Amino acid sequence: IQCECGNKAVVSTQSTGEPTLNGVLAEALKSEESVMSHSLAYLSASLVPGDAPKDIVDSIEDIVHRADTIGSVMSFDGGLMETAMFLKGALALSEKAGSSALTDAMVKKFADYITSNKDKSGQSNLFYTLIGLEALANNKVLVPSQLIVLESSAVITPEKPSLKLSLVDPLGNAIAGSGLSIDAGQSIFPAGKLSGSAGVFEVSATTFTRGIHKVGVSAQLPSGYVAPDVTTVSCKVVLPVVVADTLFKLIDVDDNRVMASSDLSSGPAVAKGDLSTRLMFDFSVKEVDGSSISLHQAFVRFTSSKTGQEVYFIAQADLNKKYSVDLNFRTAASKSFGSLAGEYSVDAILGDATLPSAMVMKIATFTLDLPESKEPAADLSKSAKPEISHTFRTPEKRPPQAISMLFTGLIFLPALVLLIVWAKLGANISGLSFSLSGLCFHGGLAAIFLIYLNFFIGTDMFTTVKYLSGCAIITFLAGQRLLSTIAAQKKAK
Amino acid sequence: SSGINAEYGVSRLVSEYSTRTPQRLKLIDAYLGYIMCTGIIQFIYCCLVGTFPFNSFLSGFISAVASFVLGVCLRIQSNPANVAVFKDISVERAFADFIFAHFVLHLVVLNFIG
Repeated sequence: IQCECGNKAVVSTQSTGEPTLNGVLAEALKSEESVMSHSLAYLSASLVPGDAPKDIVDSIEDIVHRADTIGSVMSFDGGLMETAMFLKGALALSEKAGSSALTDAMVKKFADYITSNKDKSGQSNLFYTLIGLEALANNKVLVPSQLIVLESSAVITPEKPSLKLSLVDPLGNAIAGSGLSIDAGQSIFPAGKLSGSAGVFEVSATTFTRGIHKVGVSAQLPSGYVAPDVTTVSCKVVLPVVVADTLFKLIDVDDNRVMASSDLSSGPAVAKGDLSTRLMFDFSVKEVDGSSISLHQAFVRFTSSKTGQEVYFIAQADLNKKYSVDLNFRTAASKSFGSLAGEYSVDAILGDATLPSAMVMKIATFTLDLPESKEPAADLSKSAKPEISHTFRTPEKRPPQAISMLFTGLIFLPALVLLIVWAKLGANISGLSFSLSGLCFHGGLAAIFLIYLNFFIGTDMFTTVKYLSGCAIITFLAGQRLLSTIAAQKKAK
Repeated sequence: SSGINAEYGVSRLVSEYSTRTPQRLKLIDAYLGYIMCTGIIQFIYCCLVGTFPFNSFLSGFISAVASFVLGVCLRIQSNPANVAVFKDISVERAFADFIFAHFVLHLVVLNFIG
C-alpha cells in the first residue's frame, strides 16, 4: 500500500521535519479508499511535527461511518485488525488535533467489540487486541471507563461488610482523579461519596437485610474519560439461619394414636414404622432475631442403609412459613420407597442463595417394617439397567422333512391310478393328429407348462407374462384350428 | 328291508352307470375322482402339521377345488343329454374353455403358492 511507504517515509524524515510530508500524505490518501490505508495515514499524520492537516482530520468522520453497529458493538468489515488500527490512528490524530469526530457512544462500542472476542478469523488477535485497547486507554480525548467489583466483595456478610469498587480504563488500570457516590435511598449502604483514592473505592454496609439488592451509583470522571453505562451494582446479603420449632411425630393410622413424638432437642430420634404409619415432621426457619423466613429449597431425605438409595420429599411451607412433611406409608411405601424395608437415615436439607452454605440436619433413624412379599423390592437405584438385545421373530416350527416328503409322494399316487383307470376305460389316443395345428397346439401346451415351471423356480411375473403372451397366441390359434378340424370331422362322420 | 333297498339302489346305480354313461364322461369322472383324492390328501396333511405357511396350503387346496369345478363344468357341457341346453357350445368349445381356464388358474396358483 502506498500509505505504508508513506508511513515509512514519515518515520525516516521525522528528524528533518519536512513540512511537505503532510502534502505527500494528502496526495497519497486521495487515491486510497480502504479503511486500513486511512488508519495508517492518521497514524503517520499524528507523528509528523506541526499541525494536523484539516482534510485528513475531517476524513475521520467519513471513515468511522463505514463501521457497522451490531447490537452493542461497533466494528469494521476487516475485523479486529482493521478496527484496532483505525482506533490507534484516529485517536492519535484526534489527540493531536485536540478534538475528535468520534463520540462517547462510539468509543464504548468499539471497546466492547475489542473485548468481545468476536473476530475469530484473523491471526495475531492478541497483538491487535492490545493495540486497540492501548489506543483507547492511553489517548487524551476519549477513554471509555468501566465500573468493576473487586475481590468478590459483592457478597456482604456481617463479618465482611465492605463493598470494594473501582473505575478502570480499557487496560484495567484504575483511573486516578475519579470519584464514585452512592445514590440516596439505598437500604444497606449510606448515601454519598465513597472513600478511596486513585480509582479504588470502599463502602461498608450499615444495615443487613437478607436478599439481593441493587445499589445505584454515579461516577465522576476527569475530562477525557467517558462515564460507564453501568449505574447499579448488585449485592447479596448473606445471613445465617436457625432451625426451630422442630416436631417429629409418628402416628398409627389404624388406631389413631401417637406412637412417637420428639422435638429433637436431645438429638436425632430413633423410630420404627410400618404400612399403617403416618410420619409428620414440622419445622420453621428463623433469622437470628427470631422472625420466620422461607427458603428456596427445603427437603427431607431418606437414605437406605441397605442399598444407599435416596428418597426425597419436598417440605411445604404454609402461610405462617412453617414447613412440614406428611408421609402416609400405606401409599408411600410402594410408590416412593419401592417397597424396600429396612433402616433409613432421615435428614433435612435446607438451601438458599442467601445462606452462607447449605444445611444438612440429621432428624432421625427410621426403620421401616414391611410384610414379606414374593415380589422383589423395586430397584430405585440409578445404576444402568441390563442391556436389551434385540431378538428377531423366531420362525414358526416346520414339520419334519420325512412327513413332507411322504405326502409329496402320496400326491403322485392318484395320478398313476388315474392313468390306469383311463387305460382300463379304453381311452384312445388314436385320434391324435400330427398335423401342423396339432403339433403347434400340443407344443404350445408344453411350452406354457415350461414357462410356468420357470416362474415357479424363480423368475418374476413380468418375464412370465412376456413369454406367456406370445405362446398363448400361438397355442390359441393352433388349438382353435385343431378343435374345429376335429369338430368338422365328427360332423362329417 | 331298508338295508335291502339301499343295497339294491347302489347296485342298480352302478350297473346303470357302467352301461348308460358314454365313455367320454367316464373318463372325465375318473379325472374328477383323481382331483378329489389330491384335495383330500392335501387336507389331511394340513390337519396333521398345521397351516404354516398358510398361503401355500390355500393355493394348493384351492387349485384342487377349482380344477374339480372346471372338470364338472366340462362334464356338464360335454354330456350329450344336455345338448339342448348348450346349443351354441360344442364339445370342442367346452374343452377349449376348460384348457384356457386352467391356464389362468395355474398362473394364479403358482403366484400364490410362494
